[in-house]
Amino acid sequence: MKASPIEIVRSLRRYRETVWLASSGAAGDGFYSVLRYAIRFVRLLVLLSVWEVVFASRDLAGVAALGTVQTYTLVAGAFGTFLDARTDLGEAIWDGRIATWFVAPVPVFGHAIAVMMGRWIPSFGAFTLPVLLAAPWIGVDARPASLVAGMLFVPSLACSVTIGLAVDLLLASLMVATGWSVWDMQRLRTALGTLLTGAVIPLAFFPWGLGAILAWTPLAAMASAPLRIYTGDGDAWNLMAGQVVWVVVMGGASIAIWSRMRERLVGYGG
Amino acid sequence: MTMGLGLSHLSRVPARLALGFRMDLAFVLRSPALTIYYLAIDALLIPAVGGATFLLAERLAGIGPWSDWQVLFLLGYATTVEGILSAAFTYNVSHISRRIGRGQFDHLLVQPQPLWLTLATEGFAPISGGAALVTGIAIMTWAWTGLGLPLTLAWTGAFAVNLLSSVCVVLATMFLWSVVAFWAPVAGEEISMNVHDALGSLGTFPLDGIGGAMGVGLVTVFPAGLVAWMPVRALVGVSADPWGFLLTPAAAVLMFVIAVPTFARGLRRYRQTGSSRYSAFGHRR
Repeated sequence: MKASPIEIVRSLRRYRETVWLASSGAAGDGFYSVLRYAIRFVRLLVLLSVWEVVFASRDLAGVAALGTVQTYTLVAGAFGTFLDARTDLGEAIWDGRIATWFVAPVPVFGHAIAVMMGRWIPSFGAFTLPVLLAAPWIGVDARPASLVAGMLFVPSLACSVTIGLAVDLLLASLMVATGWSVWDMQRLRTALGTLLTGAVIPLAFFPWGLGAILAWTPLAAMASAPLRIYTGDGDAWNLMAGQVVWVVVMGGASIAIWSRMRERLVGYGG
Repeated sequence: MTMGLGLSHLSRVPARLALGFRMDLAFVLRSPALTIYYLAIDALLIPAVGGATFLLAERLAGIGPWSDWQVLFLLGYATTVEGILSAAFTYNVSHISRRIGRGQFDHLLVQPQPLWLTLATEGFAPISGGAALVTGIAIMTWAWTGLGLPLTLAWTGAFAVNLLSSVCVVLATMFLWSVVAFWAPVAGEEISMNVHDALGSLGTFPLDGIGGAMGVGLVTVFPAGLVAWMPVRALVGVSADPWGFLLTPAAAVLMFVIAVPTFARGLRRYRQTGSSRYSAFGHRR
């Protein structure tokens, strides 16, 4: 029998305490937690300044406008955690915590997502919101290109998160299949995220036509697509459609592969 | 732990490093396939952090006053700095806030040798951690050829001193920020990682044109500019200042002078309070 929407919503209550615990843990030690966000803020300011230098020294009229690129960079920084959605699943496999997750009365990946979302709460309050609010003071227009762009950004971000979670499942499956370390998986993801998703440098600035190729990949659907929608660069509906395709493909593939790999999982470490 | 500086132990450094080399070799020989995999991952992924800068420079034939070859040298230099850290200060020696935050600093304090000797030698893993170093040197050599830089004794000396100074700056910054973990072990446990990531990602950008408080901050409080930008400016001729190659070594000395007593202050607190991460039942909070 299929569950009704009300039952599905009710079932989410099971994760409420997990979200709360993860949230309070991530905000632990109060002021000192803010230091992490301060470092991210400095990084964002530097990236914004680098674009000023780039535009001051090169004629980029045919590529992009400085204001658009700075908005792109600011939103990429503010929503960086969400554009690179990742859970603790790999770490839990590596250090053995996964064994306790399997005996919990909730689905394993659901638990991992609940922890991730709990950690997002302090990050959103202490970094995302302040950065967006402070944008006028640092000389960047943080507003979306249009009302439609702003509204489409929300489902686009949701697609981005879903693809990120699919990548998470695929990397966890790879760990189970190969025994590779969680640190390498994290670094692989960070390197790809930094380099090829368009989260740091818009794909239009890539050489050798690389950006045009990457735009068709799930990597671009993770960061470039929602940021382009927000800044009004390209056809928003086409970008969204591409993301939806990747949500279906990556989501389906990752669930199918993980379903097989979880049966081969061996808890070790501790 | 032996108290005081214990500089008489300086002669033990080579033996400690040799021991680290033998242990690392044993690790490699135990599982050569796994080691090759680790080395390949390091060789590819560590320079990838600065790949975005290189792609941008390649697309625009440079960034600001930097040519694409100069940016490539910058990337190689930053990778080499990272490679030295990875080869000589691994096992969470550079990420010292993890050991502090987890209450593992005791493992260093109980050893029958000065703390500095342990910190200077314990993380030496030149084979398993050396891939990034090789990649960094290869990138620099490629860029050096493209730039046609002179291989004189003066330039080589300036290069070596600046490279070591950059490593010192990164280490001193990570230790300085890690002091937070003495007071806030949970929040501070990963702060050295955050600092390291931020220095690594910002260290590969040419920071010319960033003035004001932020420009000063990037070579002092949060010295991402000293990781590669400032020394490479002098080495590849972006800076016209004939004494520019002295700035990073001077900053390294200053950072060292600040970091040592600050860390010692945190260590005094650790000696008095220990780690608060574990409950009476032995569980980590």
